[in-house]
Amino acid sequence: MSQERRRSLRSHKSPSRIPVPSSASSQRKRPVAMLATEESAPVPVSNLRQSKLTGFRRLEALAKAEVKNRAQEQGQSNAGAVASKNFTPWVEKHLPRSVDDLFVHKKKVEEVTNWMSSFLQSPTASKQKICVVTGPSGVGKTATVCLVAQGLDAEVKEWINPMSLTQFRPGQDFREEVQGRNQTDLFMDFLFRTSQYRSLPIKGKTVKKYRLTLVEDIPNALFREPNTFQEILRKYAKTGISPLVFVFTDTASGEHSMFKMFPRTLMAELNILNISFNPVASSYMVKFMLDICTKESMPVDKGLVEDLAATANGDIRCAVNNLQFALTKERSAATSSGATFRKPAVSKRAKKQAPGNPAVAEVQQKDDTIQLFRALGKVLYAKRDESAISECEMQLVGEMEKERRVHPLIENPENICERAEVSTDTFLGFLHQNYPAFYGSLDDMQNAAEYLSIADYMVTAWKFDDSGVRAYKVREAKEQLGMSVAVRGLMHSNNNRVSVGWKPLTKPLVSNMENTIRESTESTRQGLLHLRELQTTLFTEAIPFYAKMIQTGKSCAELGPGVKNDILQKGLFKEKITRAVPLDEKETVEEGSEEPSEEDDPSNAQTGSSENLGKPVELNEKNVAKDLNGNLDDAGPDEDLFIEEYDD
Amino acid sequence: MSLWADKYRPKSLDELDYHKDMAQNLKHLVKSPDFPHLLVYGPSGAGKRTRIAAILRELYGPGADRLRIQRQQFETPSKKKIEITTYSSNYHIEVNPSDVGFQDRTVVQELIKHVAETHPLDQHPFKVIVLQEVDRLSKDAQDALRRTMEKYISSCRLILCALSTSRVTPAIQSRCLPIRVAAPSKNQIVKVLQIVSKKEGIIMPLELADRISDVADGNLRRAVLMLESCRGEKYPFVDKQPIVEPDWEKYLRETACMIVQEQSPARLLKVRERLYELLCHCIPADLIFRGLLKELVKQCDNQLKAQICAEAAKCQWRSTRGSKPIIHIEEFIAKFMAIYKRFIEQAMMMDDFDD
Repeated sequence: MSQERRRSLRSHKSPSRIPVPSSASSQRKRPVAMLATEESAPVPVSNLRQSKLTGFRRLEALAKAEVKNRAQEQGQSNAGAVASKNFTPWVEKHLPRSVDDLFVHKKKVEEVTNWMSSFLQSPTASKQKICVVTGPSGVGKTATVCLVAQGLDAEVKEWINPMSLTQFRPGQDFREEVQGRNQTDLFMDFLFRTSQYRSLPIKGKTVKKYRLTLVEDIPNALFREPNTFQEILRKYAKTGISPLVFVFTDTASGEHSMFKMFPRTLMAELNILNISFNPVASSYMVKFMLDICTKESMPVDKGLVEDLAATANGDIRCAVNNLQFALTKERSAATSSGATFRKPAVSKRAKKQAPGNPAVAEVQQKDDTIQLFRALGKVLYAKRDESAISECEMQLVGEMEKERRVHPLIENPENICERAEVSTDTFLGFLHQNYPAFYGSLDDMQNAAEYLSIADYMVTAWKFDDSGVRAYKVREAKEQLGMSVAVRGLMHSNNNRVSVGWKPLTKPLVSNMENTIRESTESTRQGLLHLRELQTTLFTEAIPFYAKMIQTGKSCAELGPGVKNDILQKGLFKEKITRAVPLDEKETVEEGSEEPSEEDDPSNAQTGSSENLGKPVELNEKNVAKDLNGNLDDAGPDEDLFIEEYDD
Repeated sequence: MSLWADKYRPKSLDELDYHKDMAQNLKHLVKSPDFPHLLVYGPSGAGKRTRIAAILRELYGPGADRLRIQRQQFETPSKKKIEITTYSSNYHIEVNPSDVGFQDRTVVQELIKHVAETHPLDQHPFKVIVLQEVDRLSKDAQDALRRTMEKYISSCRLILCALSTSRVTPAIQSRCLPIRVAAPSKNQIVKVLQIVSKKEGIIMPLELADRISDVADGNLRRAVLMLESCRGEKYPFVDKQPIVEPDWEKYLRETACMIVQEQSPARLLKVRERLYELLCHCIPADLIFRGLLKELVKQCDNQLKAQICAEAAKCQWRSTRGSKPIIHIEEFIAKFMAIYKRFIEQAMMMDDFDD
């Protein structure tokens, strides 16, 4: 979910805050709203959570519409208002109330608790003042932080991005508005003030013993100026008093702003702790949703719940919203059948179309990439019309004879490309990632690989050859050509397709890898600038040998721990790590014992790469391996994309 | 504490351990009033940068050694900001434009303009701009370089550094005095290793030095790094002391073995994982190609070698122009597998005939 959208949802549910319009121009604001602290009344989390509902608006709209329908039937005009007032999203209703309710891996909760309690109880002894919690959306990052804080009797103060466009009232001094301060200053003010002063005991509220500052929305202005942000953090690390938590959602699009905002060198420098959450395992989700259904006394089909859990990609918030959506719909269809004429007809048709689970089919909102996967399926399965014989104008003789295909393709390759709705580069990446599984013979595969290679060459190499005004048109044409070569090449060369039903399609690692490389070259080079090595020699000679030396215990005192880890990670390969004496025996043993229990948490590429930050090397290596293996062989359900229509 | 390779790097032209004739020539060149643009080329680890640093010292005195590390920002015509690390003294500036990928043209132009617009303050008639990895510059950047080189000749000189001249355009080559720094011979490496170990106060058997210089393959920096990590591994040295090699090379060798062992789409997928691993460790695609080819060619029949090399060359060329190296490396491996498998199958058939 985008920053803006989340914020707008948040403000929508919390009337105490002034709604936030669009983000870009939010520069001026009175400091009052900015200092909005999260009140720690009996249920502090619910305020927070309310604001984060994914499909919440849709749900509410749906419920309202539903009630309206019925109201019209019965001729009661005020029923709508009553029902919408009673409407509460289940996500909010069934929020975890204590740490035990959380569906987060016990280790992670423990990590958060350990950090927080050690800091709160002896702020001077603990050096880790700042903590960054990362993970995909809807896995309970904020909930964990808030509940743990509650358990430790700490007050959570949250930064809410202030908004501009305070309404101008006639008679108000205009200059007052103009002299407003920018977001960055306000943010700094907030950080340093909240950490120093506790809130006043107003209206009989008890003052909690400790304070904790939570930042979920980093001010937008700072995203554009990571350096300023890092300066603020440095300052906070020196002068701040209360612990500071950042909750950072991994974006699926690989924005990697995490690395921009918290580069590894900074993490090491300020001793920032990174705790990264995994997606919620679907078994947990199923259990939780069934619980909800019993509480709501709604009978539900277990299959539906399982399907919902599978499509939610480890996002429990999304799953619960979808569950509610599906059930509300079903019930309303059942109750209103007979009374209205349109509704049942629609749902019947829906049932006919998707015999499995109509609710799931309608609700699957997370799968917005369906176009891409249809296109991929068409290319990779490369179906041919067995009933027709392709006409060939030219006689293929000699060597060319083997290029002859008897049956024509069902789909026109160019049409497929057009319908994929992604850039050429991305589509090429997807094709490359997935084609080997469909190829039975090595000869075919060799041809396919060559076509792909040519396509990549055509798409990229020609890109920069020409510049100027008409370059855009030319480039577009070239990209189309390259695409055509790839798609036609893959469809043409696959003579001995492996015939097994569906295959999971995975997303390409290429872009992920490029990000890793870019990020690590930057950070590693920054750490080793004094070596003055060129990039090539740095990574092929200096770092591998450096790693060896560190491994053998030669002191490299002038290197920070972050840089050292970096070197070890870049210079050594995983096999070596297990064979050679591990750096820290205990660490490896712990990781090993944790592994089986973590297996039901599908770890995808995103979590892996974010876990790479600031953790010991063994873990990193393991994650890299997990990423690669996981994606290629048996990717978790969140990575798999099924193309059932193209079953053989 | 720095690496030995840096610690014992010769500082001046007189201190250089080998290619002494060239050092003398360079000395004369520096003294002559007409100092040209230079193009220094030679294999990795031969001592190009050491010589460049020595030339600068000869030109400007010890002041040239005091380096500032800076991040400089440039703006492309499309208003995109790019950052690059520069090393500069009062007299010269060193930069590796290929760090910024295809934006290198902006860096080359802006940097030279920026440096050359002002004349040096003291008696020196010109400043020096050192450009690293010129052979990796895009065609655009090389063209831009040619123009700027001529334009600002009055106030600055360029020293270009490259692995080979083959990817430097003839236009640039003809504007520079080419200086080839050949890789040191085995004996020269052994000599340097002895000097280093003497200065470090360690006893190194000649046999070890011999073996290191064998493995180092003309790359002096590698040889010194190997010596240093051998020292870390086990000291005093023993007979048959294992020579430390970079992990990635071993990994690459194992990968090559995997390819020879089995040829199938499934194996190719396994190999792909390993390739990703290598690339994630920032090993450049060129070196992966080279390493794989070296190992694979070793293991196959003579009559296949030419064909395989041709395929490797084709794929590697495409990978330099394309954007996703993995696709091209994989193509090469697929090609190799197909060729190799066909050959083995044929050989088996022949055997059957013979029986």
